[in-house]
Amino acid sequence: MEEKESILAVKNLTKHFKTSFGTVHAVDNVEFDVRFGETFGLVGESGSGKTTTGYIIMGIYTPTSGKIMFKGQDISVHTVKRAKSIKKDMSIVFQDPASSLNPSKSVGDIVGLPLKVHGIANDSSELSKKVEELLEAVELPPERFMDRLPRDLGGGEKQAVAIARAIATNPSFVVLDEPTSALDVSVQAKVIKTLMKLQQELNLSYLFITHDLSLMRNVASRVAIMYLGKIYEYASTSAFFDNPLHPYTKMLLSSVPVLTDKEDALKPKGVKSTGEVPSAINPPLGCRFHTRCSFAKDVCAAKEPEFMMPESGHYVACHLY
Amino acid sequence: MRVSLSERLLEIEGLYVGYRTYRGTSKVLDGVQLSIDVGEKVGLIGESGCGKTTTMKAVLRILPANASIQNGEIYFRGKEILKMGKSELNELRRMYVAMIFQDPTAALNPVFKVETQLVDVIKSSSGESEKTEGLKDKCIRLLKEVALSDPERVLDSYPFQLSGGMRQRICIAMALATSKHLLIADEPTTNLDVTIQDQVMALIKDIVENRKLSVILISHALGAVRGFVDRVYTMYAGEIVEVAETDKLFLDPLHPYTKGLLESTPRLTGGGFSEGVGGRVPDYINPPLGCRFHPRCNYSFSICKEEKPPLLDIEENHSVACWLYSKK
Repeated sequence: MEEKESILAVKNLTKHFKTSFGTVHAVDNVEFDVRFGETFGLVGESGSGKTTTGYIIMGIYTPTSGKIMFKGQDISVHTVKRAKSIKKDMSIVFQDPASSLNPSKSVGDIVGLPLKVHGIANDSSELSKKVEELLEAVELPPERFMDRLPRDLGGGEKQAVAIARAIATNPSFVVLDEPTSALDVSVQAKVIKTLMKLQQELNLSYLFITHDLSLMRNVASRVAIMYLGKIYEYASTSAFFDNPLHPYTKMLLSSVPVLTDKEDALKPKGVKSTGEVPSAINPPLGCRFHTRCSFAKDVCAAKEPEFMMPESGHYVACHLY
Repeated sequence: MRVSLSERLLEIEGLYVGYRTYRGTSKVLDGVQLSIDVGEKVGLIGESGCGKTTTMKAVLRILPANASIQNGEIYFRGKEILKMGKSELNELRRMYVAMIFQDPTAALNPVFKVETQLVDVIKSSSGESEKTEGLKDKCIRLLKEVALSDPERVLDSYPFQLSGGMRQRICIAMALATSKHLLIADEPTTNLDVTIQDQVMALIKDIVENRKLSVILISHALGAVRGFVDRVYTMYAGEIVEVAETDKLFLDPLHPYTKGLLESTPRLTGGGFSEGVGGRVPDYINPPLGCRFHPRCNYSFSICKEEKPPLLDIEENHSVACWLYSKK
């Protein structure tokens, strides 16, 4: 994991939540880096800790332990303790556009707020000019959308507003937390297109969080697969899809519903999805996947697997290798 | 429409359903035609808000109070559902048609244990107030059938103590507590994780095979439909726009909307993204005249804006409602 070329690197990142039922091990010793200008995919099912990871990076949660390096600076603290220049340089698009936009503010106000907070626009005419540019960048005609309220917009349009807000401060790094999972496929395509176009134009680096492997295949250059708070496989997208290694990632891939025979051929054969994700309060000892794994051996329940590199640039944590 | 020798189980003819709102009547269903034969598996795809669930709720006559069926006929085994009395309707729901809903959390009562709810369903669907003995065994048998490994504990749990996958399995068990003829599965796996989705679909498949049920699967996840059904209906804005056998629809879609839908689905093989289908489902209070899809269609021409295209057979078992294909 080269540091010079990465815009963001997390090391041994851990987040535990104390609840009255016990400690939830939401994220445990997670390590990855996002390179300049790339889309890094973080994939996992619900409860895998992918969103928590994104939130820690954004400073919404303080990490229990571990480090987040952003452009060489240590930012492993809560957002209130971060320098304003850092906050300006990172932003996030949330999963559900219906609840991430203030229902009583107009589109113009919503997109304009970060501009005001960071002092980017000095007077109201400059502000409205900037907001218009941002709305044009996400393909919402400003004259039609400026004064509308979120409730008058469709799901895709709302998410476009959220994206315009995220890029308002001209950040270099954006966390996309399942930006299209609340949308229909027909609308999703448009939102993804917009995101990819903006990445090119503004040279953005994305941390793309999703549960959708087909989507990931089309947007990310590298992926990490999380299960119950830990990363189990880490590779370039093409290497991962050509030859998934971890039994969990195989199960995940084989479960994806597909549309063509070609895609069917890509899915690992003879893998059947079984069991459910155990509770993160008392995660299984050893490899956390061993309770659902058909290849599990005694060692899997006893010892945590270390990361290995069976092929160049393709990491997996599994006792089989 | 296709005429077959096998027995027709359900037939929907020219169904119009509207919802009264403070802005006026929202004309959602606009002449829906759909049919399913005994033993057949049929899929219904389309964006959210296109009327898929409304159609199915009309079949069971469980539409909300502000909805009205303005026109149309629904026949179940030759009997007109829209003319049924209360007792006949109850019999239909109890003995013949089962439905699984999208959100298992909302479909279960949060304040009763699973056992209470399951027993109630069994009692009411079997039509007799059976003695409570033996009912628990029946519950356990049902839960085992839906592959819940620890039925005793599940029966003694409240819905919130169970995972989404388990809750959906319970809903399936409830729907199929007594033998039925038709299963309507309304986005049964949409709220579940991918691996659990796969398990639940496999379970539904098994049960359907074992019990020889006919199925209507509603989904906007096209992949789930492809792996399961014989025939697919594509719905857009309250209209059936295309009907075809599953393989044909996925290999050679005709309607611009079906094409757009298929193209915008991301593929495991990669290859990037299409433009998607621009715009969104129309406002049903003032729906577009002519073909309801024309404002979003890249191929629309003058007649599309004026006259609604009829659903015509293009080849055997493939019908489409689009002026591009009809000789006019």
